[in-house]
Amino acid sequence: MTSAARATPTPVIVVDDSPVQRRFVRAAVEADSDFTVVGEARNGKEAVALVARLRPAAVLMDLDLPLMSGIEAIEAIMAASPTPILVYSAHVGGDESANALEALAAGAVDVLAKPRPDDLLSLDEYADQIRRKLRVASRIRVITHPRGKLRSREAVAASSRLGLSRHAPLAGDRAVHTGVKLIAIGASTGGPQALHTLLSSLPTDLDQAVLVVQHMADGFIPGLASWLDQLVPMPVVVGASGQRLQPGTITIAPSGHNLLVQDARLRILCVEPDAGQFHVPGIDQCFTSVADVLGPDAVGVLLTGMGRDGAQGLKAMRARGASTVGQDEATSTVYGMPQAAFALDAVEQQLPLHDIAPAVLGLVGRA
Amino acid sequence: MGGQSVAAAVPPAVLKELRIVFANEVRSRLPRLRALSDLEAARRDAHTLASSAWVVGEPEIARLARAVEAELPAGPVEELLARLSEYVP
Repeated sequence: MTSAARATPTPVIVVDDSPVQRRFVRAAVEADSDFTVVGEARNGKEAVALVARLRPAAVLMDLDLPLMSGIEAIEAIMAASPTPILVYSAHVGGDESANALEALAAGAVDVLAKPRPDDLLSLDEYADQIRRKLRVASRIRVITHPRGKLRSREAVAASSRLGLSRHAPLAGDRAVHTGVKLIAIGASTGGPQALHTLLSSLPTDLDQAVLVVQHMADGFIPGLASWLDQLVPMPVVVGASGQRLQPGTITIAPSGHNLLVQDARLRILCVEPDAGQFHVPGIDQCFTSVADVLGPDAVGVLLTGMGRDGAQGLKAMRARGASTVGQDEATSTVYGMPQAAFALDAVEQQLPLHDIAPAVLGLVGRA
Repeated sequence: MGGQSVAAAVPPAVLKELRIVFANEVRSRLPRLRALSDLEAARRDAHTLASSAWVVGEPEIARLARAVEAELPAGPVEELLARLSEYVP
């Protein structure tokens, strides 16, 4: 790439019904000369049309929009013109975090809460948050993301066409290990939607406990648990120190801590992360603890996500005899973490998302 | 990306422009809030004004608008209308 090409600012579209917000977000974004706002939309319908016409590198979108809601617009954009969408909204924090999960499930890559009236955040700090999130979001390579069966059918076809299950022996090829006590799952960008798909296929009478580590900003984990609890058959809870993971229950690692499995009775400990740990809760820390205490009595699954977290932990699990699964490129929102794990030879089976639950069930003798 | 340059603060000229745009926004949404004939439209107006008010440095208006958004048709509607009217005499 030439230096002239690198200097071309990244095109962005802003979607908000408030002219004040649009003007402010434009100023915040264009304060970084790496970005330029190439279009503004006042409602969801305009956003869908503008994205299709201008093909920006990223979209900044409010959720509460007239004519077509933000969620509907995200679904339409991700189905027709896949583009990284960063949602910013006043209704995604605290009690309303389900809205954030709904946006992520629809295909948005990240969510930022607009400041509340009593927030001590300055305007400049908020502008800086927007730029930092946008910089990450604009680098994500997203895939077509229509919900439901259409998505699954296309994913299957894409995987077959591209031969991306190259490292994917069927579950039946591996001996079923009846002593499995725990299914440990790690996810990051694109995780909520992937978790919804995977966990929807696990039955309520599962003999194993399920543990989920999802990278997420502080405060959003209870919303994720509540949202999943309404959508999947098994009960979903947030983990806390001293608890024991229960068969037939999905436990999600809490915000701000690393969740470690302490012993073979599946007692858990939530500990403060080391200073400088980038991803919290950490997947590597959790998976490594699972490897140490359960060895072959666990299944590890690493789903979509940016970066490398989980790759070393999954490798540790595999080295101790656990079965390991990685999501494939075609169905990953971001093929970062599973790719890193694959490169480390930590992935025993690399599978399209919709094949992961059947494979896991096969590994625990429930095929 | 070249990581070229990032301005440290929102420029004063932009802040001034934002206050003008906010006044126009208040002018266009105030009649619907006064009438309260369409509660969903009024709720959306309150929602938008709450976020906009914070951006232009009016946290009290933001707080009132957020309360109105949450409590319509109850809530501090009159108080909010009075504060907004100061913007568009």
